[in-house]
Amino acid sequence: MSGLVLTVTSGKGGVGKTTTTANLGTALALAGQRVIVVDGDIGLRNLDIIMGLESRVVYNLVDVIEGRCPLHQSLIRDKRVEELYLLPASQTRDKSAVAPDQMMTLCEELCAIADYVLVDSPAGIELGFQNAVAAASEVIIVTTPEVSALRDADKVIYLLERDLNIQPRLVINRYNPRLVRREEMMSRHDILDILSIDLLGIVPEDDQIIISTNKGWPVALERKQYVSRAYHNIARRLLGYNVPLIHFQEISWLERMRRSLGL
Amino acid sequence: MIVINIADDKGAWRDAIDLLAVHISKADGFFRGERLSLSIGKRAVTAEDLQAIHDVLEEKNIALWALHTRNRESFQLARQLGLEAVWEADTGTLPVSSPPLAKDQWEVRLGPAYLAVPRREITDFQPPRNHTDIPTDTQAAPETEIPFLQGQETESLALPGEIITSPYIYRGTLRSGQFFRHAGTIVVLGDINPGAQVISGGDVFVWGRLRGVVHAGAMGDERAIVAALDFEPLQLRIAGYIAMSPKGTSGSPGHWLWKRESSGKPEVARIIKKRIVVDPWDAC
Repeated sequence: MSGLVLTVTSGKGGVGKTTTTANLGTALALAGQRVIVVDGDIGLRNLDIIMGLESRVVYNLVDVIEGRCPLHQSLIRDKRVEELYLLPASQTRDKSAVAPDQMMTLCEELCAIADYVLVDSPAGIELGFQNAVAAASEVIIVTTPEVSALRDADKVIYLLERDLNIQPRLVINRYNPRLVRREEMMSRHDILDILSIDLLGIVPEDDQIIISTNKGWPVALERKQYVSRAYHNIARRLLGYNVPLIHFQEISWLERMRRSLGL
Repeated sequence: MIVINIADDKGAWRDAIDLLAVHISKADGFFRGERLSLSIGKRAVTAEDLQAIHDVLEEKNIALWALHTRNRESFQLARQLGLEAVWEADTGTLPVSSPPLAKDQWEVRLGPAYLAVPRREITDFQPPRNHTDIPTDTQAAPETEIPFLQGQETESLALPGEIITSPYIYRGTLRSGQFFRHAGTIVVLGDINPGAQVISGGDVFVWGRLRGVVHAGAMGDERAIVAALDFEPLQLRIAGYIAMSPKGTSGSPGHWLWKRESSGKPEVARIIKKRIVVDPWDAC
């Protein structure tokens, strides 16, 4: 088996890289792929919390790289999904514990046993970012429709094009169609106009994301949820299907009430 | 890298150096920390001459890096001194940093306000001849057999001490964080995104959207212009003048930050009466 390494990065922090990684990983696994999600944010371990696997962490990425445990032992299997594994980051070490070439070796090993290796990159453009993208066969840029996030995403795209010759694809996160309609938020056209890269998907802003991340239950597991569909669509686009973008329509107050009651 | 031309054979070397020093002082900061290429045409220089210019440059924190020459002795001397020696084909004398238009064309296009600034006469542009290979110092052929020493001489357009460079053409989008500077005219075939920066000693032409920061005439040339197909820069600088993009005034709230006023037409900015003025390109 020779898998693909997808790195999720953004430049700016807090735009939803980790949430996107967790949900995309889950969605790909639900689509029948064998997926390993790797937390590249060494020192600020988050991915295991969002996936609800924190209590099961024993070994981590640094342990594997420094040879303290075999690779298969460090992988945590997500029991809710068929073939989803997590390689957590170390919370006690920092980014300098890993070098890009070590990351590449590790990802090669992971590719041998998985279809997709999703690497969650830390914020910034320093060593942590460089580690995360070192082995990437494809890069997913996550941005929110904010001017500052966009500026950072643009810089990251420039770095990727210059250093790795990679054309990344874009996920727009926390998109609020209502604000866009009132022209109080950048539209996807405004965003694509500046970044001029391929759009992989749009994830609407939804309270369910916050609720599910706090519960450690990726929203992609809940197929009934409205946002869940956005992640499954992105996963299907990654798998090569041609899935049209969700057409966001104004939610009526009745619908909103129905949703808040969980019906 | 910056190329400076002091190719005039008539003036004294010392005068050329003085002029160069004045030039560099005027454009304080632009050259600092740069590597510098010196273009000396057919002039024969001695080690002392180069030492003198090296000292002047070192004072300004500039490294003398290369010597472009059409003189064989100078070429070999530069090599011996460990400089990058470049055999200068006639392409070395490109026109100065303004487009080669006849004077009457300028009048038509740019109007009297533009011409009020004294502008040097521009002679006809000579197309560069084919580039010839750099001769090696080990096999110096007899003078008569060297093809590039024959043929007519193109007259240098540069005054002694004048900075001349070929235009720099960049293809592609300049993204946030991308930055370049060039002593001559810069042409960008693509967009300049917000967060990108371009600094030019001459004019800047953008065949795309201009949304970043542009500085034209950075070495003090107030005749420099900035032109773009879609002209919405965050900030614009020409020579010593700075202009900020006006904030949107139209009704939509989004216009205050990510949608700037754009006429949707090509526009050109230049200095008129000590202010940066932006006009539609067709009205020039």
